[in-house]
Amino acid sequence: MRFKRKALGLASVAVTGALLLAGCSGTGSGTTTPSGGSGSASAGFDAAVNGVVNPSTKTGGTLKLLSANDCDSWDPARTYYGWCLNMQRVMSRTLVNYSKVNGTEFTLAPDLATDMGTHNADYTQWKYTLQDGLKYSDGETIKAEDIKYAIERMYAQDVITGGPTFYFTEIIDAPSSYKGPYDGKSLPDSAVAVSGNTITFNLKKPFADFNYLLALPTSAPVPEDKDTGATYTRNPVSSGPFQIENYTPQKSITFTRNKNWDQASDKIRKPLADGIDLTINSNTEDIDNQLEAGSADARMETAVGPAFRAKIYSDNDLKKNADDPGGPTTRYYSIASSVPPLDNVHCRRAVFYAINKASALQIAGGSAAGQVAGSATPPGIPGYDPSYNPYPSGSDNTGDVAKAKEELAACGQPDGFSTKFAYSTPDATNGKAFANVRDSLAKAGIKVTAATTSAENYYSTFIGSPSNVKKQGLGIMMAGWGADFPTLYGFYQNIVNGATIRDPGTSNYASINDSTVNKILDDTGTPTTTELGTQLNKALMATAQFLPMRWDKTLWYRNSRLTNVTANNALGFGAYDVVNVGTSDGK
Amino acid sequence: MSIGGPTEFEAVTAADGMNTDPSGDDAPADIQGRSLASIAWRRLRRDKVALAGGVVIVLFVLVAVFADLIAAVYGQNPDRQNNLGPTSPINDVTGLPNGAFGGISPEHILGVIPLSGQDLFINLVYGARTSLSVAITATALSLVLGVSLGLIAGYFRGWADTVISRTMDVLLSFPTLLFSIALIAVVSYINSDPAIRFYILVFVLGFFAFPYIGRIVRGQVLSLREKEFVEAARSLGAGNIRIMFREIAPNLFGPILVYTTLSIPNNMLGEAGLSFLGLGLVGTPSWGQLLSDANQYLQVDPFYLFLPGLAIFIAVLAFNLFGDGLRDALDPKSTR
Repeated sequence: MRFKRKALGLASVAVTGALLLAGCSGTGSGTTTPSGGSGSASAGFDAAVNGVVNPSTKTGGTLKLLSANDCDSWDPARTYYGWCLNMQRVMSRTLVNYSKVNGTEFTLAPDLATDMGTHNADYTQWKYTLQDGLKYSDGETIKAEDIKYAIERMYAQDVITGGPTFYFTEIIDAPSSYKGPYDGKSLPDSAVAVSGNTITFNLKKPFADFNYLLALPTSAPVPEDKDTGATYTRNPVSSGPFQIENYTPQKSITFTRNKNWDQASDKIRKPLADGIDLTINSNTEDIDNQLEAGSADARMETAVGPAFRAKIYSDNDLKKNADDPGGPTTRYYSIASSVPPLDNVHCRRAVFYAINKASALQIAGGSAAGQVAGSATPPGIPGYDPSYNPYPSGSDNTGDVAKAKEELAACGQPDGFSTKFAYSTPDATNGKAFANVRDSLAKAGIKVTAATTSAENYYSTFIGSPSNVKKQGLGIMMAGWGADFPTLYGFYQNIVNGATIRDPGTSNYASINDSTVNKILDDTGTPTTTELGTQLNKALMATAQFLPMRWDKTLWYRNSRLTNVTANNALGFGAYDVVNVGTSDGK
Repeated sequence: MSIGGPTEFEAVTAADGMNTDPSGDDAPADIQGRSLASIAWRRLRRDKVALAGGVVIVLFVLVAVFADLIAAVYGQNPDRQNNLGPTSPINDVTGLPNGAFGGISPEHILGVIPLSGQDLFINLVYGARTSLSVAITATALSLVLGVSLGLIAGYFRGWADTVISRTMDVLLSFPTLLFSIALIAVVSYINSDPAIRFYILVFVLGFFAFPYIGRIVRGQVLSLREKEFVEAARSLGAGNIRIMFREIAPNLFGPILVYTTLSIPNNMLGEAGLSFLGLGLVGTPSWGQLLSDANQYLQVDPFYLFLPGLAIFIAVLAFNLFGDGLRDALDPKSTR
C-alpha cells in the first residue's frame, strides 16, 4: 500500500509528502475476534500495538481525526495510501477481511462472504458465497454481480488509476483485449462467474494468497448504476457501518452511521462512535498541538512530528497515550547496477560496508523509528532473521572503512569513485540523510553528490524510470516499502521481481533481476514458507542492489478519551483501527 | 587630511583661496584637489554606522572564502553526524540536543542540529558561502543586464528605449515568486544536477531584478547625454560606443555602487526565502534551509531557529547600513 509521509515543507507551497508504496501483513489462520484486535490492555505506552486500549462497549460520540493530506482517493479501487486502506474499513466491506490487525500476526475472516471460500487443488479457482440480505447505505441489496463489476472496473486502467488493481488484473483469466465495463462489455464467465449469491474467480495461474488480495478494499462491491467512473471518489456507496455524509476534497470528510448496515452480518467490525470527522490540515505543527491539547483524537496519515515526538519521550503523561508499532516495512537504498562503476558488484559492496546505518536511524528518529536492518526481509514476513547480516557495516553499524576499501580495490577503484544519491525535496530529514551518506562514504573515498526532485515525481518518473536512472546516473536511491499483505509475494513482488521492471512506473528501482528471486516470486501456487523466505532474502542480498537501512516503526498518539483503540499494522502502518474506536465521554 | 580636520566646506573655501588669514603658514599645505571618490571616502569614514556595516560585510566575506580552513581548524565538517554514542550531543531518545541553548559546548560552539547532530556553527559558515555566492552572482547578473540595457535605452532613445522600457515594465509587474517556484520545480525535474539549481536561483533573483537598476541608469543617461562634455566628445568625433562607455558610464559609478550594496542583501533574503520553501540549493548548507528545518523545533529547541535567523538578520542589516552610508557619501545633496 502507499504510505503518505509527513510533508515537512511549510508556508504557502503545497508540499506533497513522499509517497511510499507500502503494505500490510498477517498470516491467514487462527481464530477470529470481533474487535479488530486481540488481547486487551489498560492505557500505557505501546498498549495498542499488541492489545486493545480501554476496552468498552459504550456507544456515541464523534471521532475528531486529523491528517495533513487528503486520501489519494476514496474510491475503494483507487485507494493505495496505507492510512486510506485503513480508513476504507469504515465504509467498504469485501468478501474476506482482516479480523485481527494488531501485533505482527494478522487474522483473516469472512466479511461479506459466508466463509473463507473454497479453492481447487492448484489454487487457480476460488469460490465464495455472499451472505443473504446485505444492504448498501442507500438501501439497495449487495449482489455478487456488484463484486464482479468491481473487478471489471479495474480493467479500465485509464479511469480506475492509482490503486493496487494490478494484483487482480495480472492474475484473473480475462481476455487480453478487455478494457473495462465503461464501453458496455463485461467479463466472461471464464474469468469471473456469478450464479445467485456465488461468485467464482478463475485465475491465469495458481495464486495461494488470493484471500489476502480480497482483504484489500480494492474489490469492494460497486453497484453499476451508482458508479460515476473517475468521480466515484466523491460519493462512493457504503457497505460498511459508516457512510460519507459530506466530503470536500482537500478539506474535510465526515462520516455518519449507515442505518442499513447490520451488526449481525459483520463479525469483524464493532463500531461504537456515531460519527467520524476527518479534517485535512496542512499545518503539521498545528495538528500536533491539537493532539497534545486533547482537542483532536488522532492523526491518521503518518507519525507525529519530531518536536511532538521529543515531548512524548520526555513526558510520561504524554507517553502513556502513544504507540510505536512496527510493521513489515523496510527502508532501503536501491543501488543501480546500470550506473558505472556500480555495475561491478564489488563497488556496490563497498557502499554496503561503508554506509553508516546507525546515524541514519538516529536521523529518522532513533529507536522510535525502528531498528537497523541487516537484511531486506522485515519483521512479519517469512524469512525475517534479525541476526542475518551479510555485509556488516562495522560492529556498531557506523561503517567499516577497511572492508569497503578492500572491495574498492577488488572493483578496480582503489581510490574510490563518484556517484549520486537520489532523494526527494523539500524534506529537511532527507537532506540530513544525504549528509550522512556523503559523510560516511567519503571516509572510504566514495564521493557522493545530491540528485533531487519533488516528492510528486520522485517514485513515479524519477527513480521509477530505469532509463532516467541510467541517464542521470542515480547510483544510490532512497526508497522504502511496506508489504501489501504479509507474504513473500505481498512484500517483494513489486520491488524485486524482474518481471515488474517497467519504464516508467516500476517500483523495482534498481532493476533487480535475479533468477532465484524471480523463481520464488513467480511460484504463486505454493504458500509462503520460512524456508522460501530465507532463500529469497539470501539471493536478494547476494545481488548487492538492495541496501537495507532500517525496519520501520511509526509513532502515533491517541486521545485519552478514546476507547477500544488498537493499531492497524495490517493495513495502516500502525494507524489506529478507527472503525472500532469509541469515546469515553460520548461526545 | 587627518580625521578631525576642516570640514568639506572649509576645505572647499580653502581651495578657492578665500582663506581669511593671508599670513597663515600652513595654509598652502591644505590646498589640494580632491577627486569625487576621495571626498566620498572622507564622508564615509565619518559615518561610524556605515563603517561598522562594512566591517561586518568584510567578516562575512572572509568567513565564506575561508570556510574550508575554518572547518579544518574547528575540526568539524557540515555533514558530520554527531548523533551516536554516550558522548553525543544528541539525546538518543528524543533526537534533540542535550543541554541548554541547543547543545552549546566547547566542541560545538553554537550547538548542533536536532536528530543528525551536525555542527550548527560550521553549517552557518558554509551557509554564508551559499548566501553570498548566490547573492553576489545574482547581483552581478542584474548589473550587467541593467546597466547595458539602461545605457542603450537612455542613450539611443527612440524605438530602442520603447522596447527596453516596456520590457522592464512587464518584468516589474511579473509575479516573480510564483514563476520562480514553477521554474525551479520544472527544471529540477528535467535535470537533477545540483549546479543547475544554482544557475536557476541566480537567474530568478538576478534577471527579474535588472529593471530596477536599468531604470536608474536610463534616467541618469538621459540627462548625462545632453551634458557639455558629451557634446565636446561628439564634436571631437567620438563614436557612440566610446561616448557610452568612456564618457557616460564612469559617471554612473555612484548609483551602481549604491544599487549593488542594496541589491545584495535583497538577494540574500530571496535566496533564504526560496531555500526555506525547499527551492534553494541542495546538498549545500544554507541559512534558509536551516530556518525551514528549525521551524519544526520552535517549541522544543528555539535556539536552533534563532541562530540562522540572526545570521541572516546581521548580514542583511550590515549590507543595508553600508549601502545607506555609501549613498549619503556619494550624494552631497542627500540629507539625513
